[in-house]
Amino acid sequence: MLLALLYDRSFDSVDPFIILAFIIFLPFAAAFVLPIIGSKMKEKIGWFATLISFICFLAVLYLIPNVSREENLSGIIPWINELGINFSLRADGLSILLAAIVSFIGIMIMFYSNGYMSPKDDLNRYYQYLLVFMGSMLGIAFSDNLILLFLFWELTSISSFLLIGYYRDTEKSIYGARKALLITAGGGLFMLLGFIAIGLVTGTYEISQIVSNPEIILNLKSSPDFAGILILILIGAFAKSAQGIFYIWLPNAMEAPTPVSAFLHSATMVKAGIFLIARFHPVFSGTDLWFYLVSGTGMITMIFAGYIAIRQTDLKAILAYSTISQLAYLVTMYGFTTEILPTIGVSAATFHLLNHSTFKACLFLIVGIVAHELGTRDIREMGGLAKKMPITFIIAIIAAASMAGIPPFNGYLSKELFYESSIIMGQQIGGIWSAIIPMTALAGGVLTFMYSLRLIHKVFLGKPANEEMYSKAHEPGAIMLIPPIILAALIVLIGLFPDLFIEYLVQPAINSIAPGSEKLHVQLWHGFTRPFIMTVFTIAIGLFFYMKYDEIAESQNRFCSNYKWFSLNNLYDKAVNNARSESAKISGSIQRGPPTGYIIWMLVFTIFLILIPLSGFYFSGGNLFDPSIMRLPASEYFLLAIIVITAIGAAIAPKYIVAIMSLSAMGYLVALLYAYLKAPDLAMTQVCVETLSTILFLAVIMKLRKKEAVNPDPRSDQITKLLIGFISGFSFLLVIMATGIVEPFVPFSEYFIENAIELTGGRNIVNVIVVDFRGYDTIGEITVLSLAALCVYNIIRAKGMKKEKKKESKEEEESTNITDNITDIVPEEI
Amino acid sequence: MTTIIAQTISKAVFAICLMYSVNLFIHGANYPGGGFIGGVLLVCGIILIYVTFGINRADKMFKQDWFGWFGFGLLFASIAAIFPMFKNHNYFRSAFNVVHFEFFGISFGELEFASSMMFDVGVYFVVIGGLVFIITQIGKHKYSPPKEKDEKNVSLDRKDNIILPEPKEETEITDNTVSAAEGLQ
Repeated sequence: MLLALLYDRSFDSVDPFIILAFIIFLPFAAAFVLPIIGSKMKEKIGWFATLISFICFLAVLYLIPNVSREENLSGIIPWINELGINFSLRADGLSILLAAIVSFIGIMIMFYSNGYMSPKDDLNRYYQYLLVFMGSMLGIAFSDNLILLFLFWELTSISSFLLIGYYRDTEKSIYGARKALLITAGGGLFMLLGFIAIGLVTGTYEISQIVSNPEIILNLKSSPDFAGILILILIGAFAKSAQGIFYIWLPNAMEAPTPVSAFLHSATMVKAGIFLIARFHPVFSGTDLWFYLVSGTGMITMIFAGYIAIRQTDLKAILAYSTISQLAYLVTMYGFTTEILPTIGVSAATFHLLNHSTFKACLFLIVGIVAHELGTRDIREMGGLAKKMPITFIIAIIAAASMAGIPPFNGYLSKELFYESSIIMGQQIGGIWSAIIPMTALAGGVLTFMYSLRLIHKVFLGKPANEEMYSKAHEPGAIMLIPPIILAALIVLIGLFPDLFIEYLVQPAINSIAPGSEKLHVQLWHGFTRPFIMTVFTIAIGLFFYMKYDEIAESQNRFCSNYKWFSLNNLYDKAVNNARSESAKISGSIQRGPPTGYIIWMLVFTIFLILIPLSGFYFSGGNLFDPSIMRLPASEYFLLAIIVITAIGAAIAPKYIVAIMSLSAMGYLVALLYAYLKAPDLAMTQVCVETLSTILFLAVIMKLRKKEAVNPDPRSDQITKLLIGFISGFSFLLVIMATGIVEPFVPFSEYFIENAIELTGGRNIVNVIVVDFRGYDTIGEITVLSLAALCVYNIIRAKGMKKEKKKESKEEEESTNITDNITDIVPEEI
Repeated sequence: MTTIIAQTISKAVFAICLMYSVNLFIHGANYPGGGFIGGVLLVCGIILIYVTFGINRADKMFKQDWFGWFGFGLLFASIAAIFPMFKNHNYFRSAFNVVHFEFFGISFGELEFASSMMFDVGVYFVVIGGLVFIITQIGKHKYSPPKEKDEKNVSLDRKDNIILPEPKEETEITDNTVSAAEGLQ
């Protein structure tokens, strides 16, 4: 039925944009409704997720004919026009290739998870994360806007974080999840900077415009920021694909459930960085910098990761380092460019992108089966499983042989292409490089061959190391076997009939990276060419060194235990852990707790803020003081004098209760002053606020017992505080006296008075200012009030805190409330 | 001060506060008043009830979750601020209209509706909810003195300066708060 729909081209009338948007949003929508469906389907919910990814895969398949005809499949919904950010989607060969891999492996993984995950796990959460990840990965494939791409990019980082930390209560998975998030999402931020720089240089964020317009490319290449942009984007790509120094997150990410590792950390998410490199290949390639950065990083990572893989004893760790090394192949090949031939390795890399996804996902699933059956992933505990699990063994041989580059599997084909492209690249540069580059490729191949052989040898052959575990082992159920079988079949199929896949998947992708490039011809047998000789050498040297495998691993272990400081993980741990303790130290020294310190600093800075401009103004000949404001009636002077007396009383009163009374007396007198100055509403507010704050003060003071009195300050401190208080009071006095009198400080109340009725329809200017003219301020203030209330609640509920601190914070909140009220009132008064 | 006289009078005062507060609030646009002042006035009335009746009884009388009040207010104010954007205006854009009421040829006068009034409703609720919440929370808090160790930090010279408040009305609060806290547990 679905297939009939697929080939019924009456759908041609459907806007391709709608199909693309459907592919991206279906997994998100499914993740959203999954808990509802999950409550009905219980442990069968995995099948729902499988169905969703199957629908996505069919939709991707549906687009393949259009893409291979190089039709323009794109669409755009304007989003933020001013910034050039649009919701624009586009399908070309490369994105279809990635989307096909993602959705197909998605089906396999979700199918497999039905057998792998135990019903006791929180399955809804698991499949929700997987679906969100799949949706964002498809989003990366199809987005045509750099900023949109970035959004999906970070979404994959976040879903990867959630999946690595799926087992929430194991220390290791928390560590791995945090590490992955910090590195991949952090790299993504650098990439965003690079994107913005591209947007600034080219004036557009649309990828299709940047990539296809020769003028824009020339403009970028000649831009002085070219190197910076390239490096920023490569940081993002390398962090995602675990290349160069960023490799350290991937081994720790293996704490995720094995299907997740197969899906995210080998087949798809780590390909996002490669995808980005391929995407920007037309823009950046052909420059020396591109070759050195991309191929250089790739070659070093390839050798290094392959070498490290040898000492690993955890099955998944071996596969993790092998993934890093295989991704480095891809990076290296995409980096093979010269000015004359800018696309030497593109076709090989794109083909290997497909092949690696098949054999690596398959291997991970095999590891999942083995670990599931034995209950361990330690390679030293295994052996002899071939008798117990013959089907698994055959699949494992196919996948490992493909990874090692042995004919007739697909890995062999792309490995040959890799050797060939490295020879051509070496010849293009000439000199000593014509030997170094092929030799590096060969070394990478040898290492791959060695650990592939190791996997088969140690797990399935030889004698069982642990009899107890061995006796329990048996072939897994069909649910867990079918996906690896399908993948293994695919490995063989691609190996035997590569043309079918190349024509529909790989060649369109190559064309979208390098338009008009030659058609890729792959054959299993093409005579005694140099790549074939290199393959023979690979196997021979690999076998030779495999004899000394244990010695090599031993020497690595010795090195690691002798030079513990010499590792990137060590650096990372130091940086992250120290960041936590150091920042705690700094915040601890700034935020001590008692409000006295905060108030002093606030006042000191206010004094500087006020006095520096005012004194500048004064010394340049300005006049700050107009004697006419001193002409007041005697009654006002009398009122002011009482206010001053109460203020002094509040400061020097020996008992708290007296001080509070004195303070509230001052407040009421100020209210009286407002009333006298014909501001009845202010007076009323002041009376209410004063009453409330007095009650609040008393409620707090009430809880102070005799013995817990705050330590009185020493005399020198008192003098400092007195000085600060006096100077800040004096500077405020200066400001108030100058306001509205001296030329630059004109009151702006005129504007409100003139426009109130016309613009807002209110005659009460005070209220109109609060709720209309300065609505922004007010919404901020009511938010602060709400937050303060929440803080009070939390502080009171918090347990194990020092009681003193509680009181102080309460007083602080209260004082902020009062100052809020005052700031509410003061500007209106003007 | 929790005599029957005080309690009766405070009830009456509360009613007056409530009416005047609503009056202030409604008249805010054209006469002295507004959401903030109206709210603070009502809070004074509410707190008066809390002081005279004690937290436990007053809570039972009001049966209000003050927490919800300022949440609602904040939500309402935000919606009022965002709403113009759905009509393709700027955030916080205000509008007003004067409606003339006339039924059967008899004029009932004019009433003015301003969009800022909606925002003011939010302010009103946040002020009431927030302030009452803070004061009642602090009042309910049962305070237990720190352990013996802390006494060392207390200096001796000003020890006798801090004295429990003598006036009766304040001690009344303590009694209520303690009983309230015990009632809670």
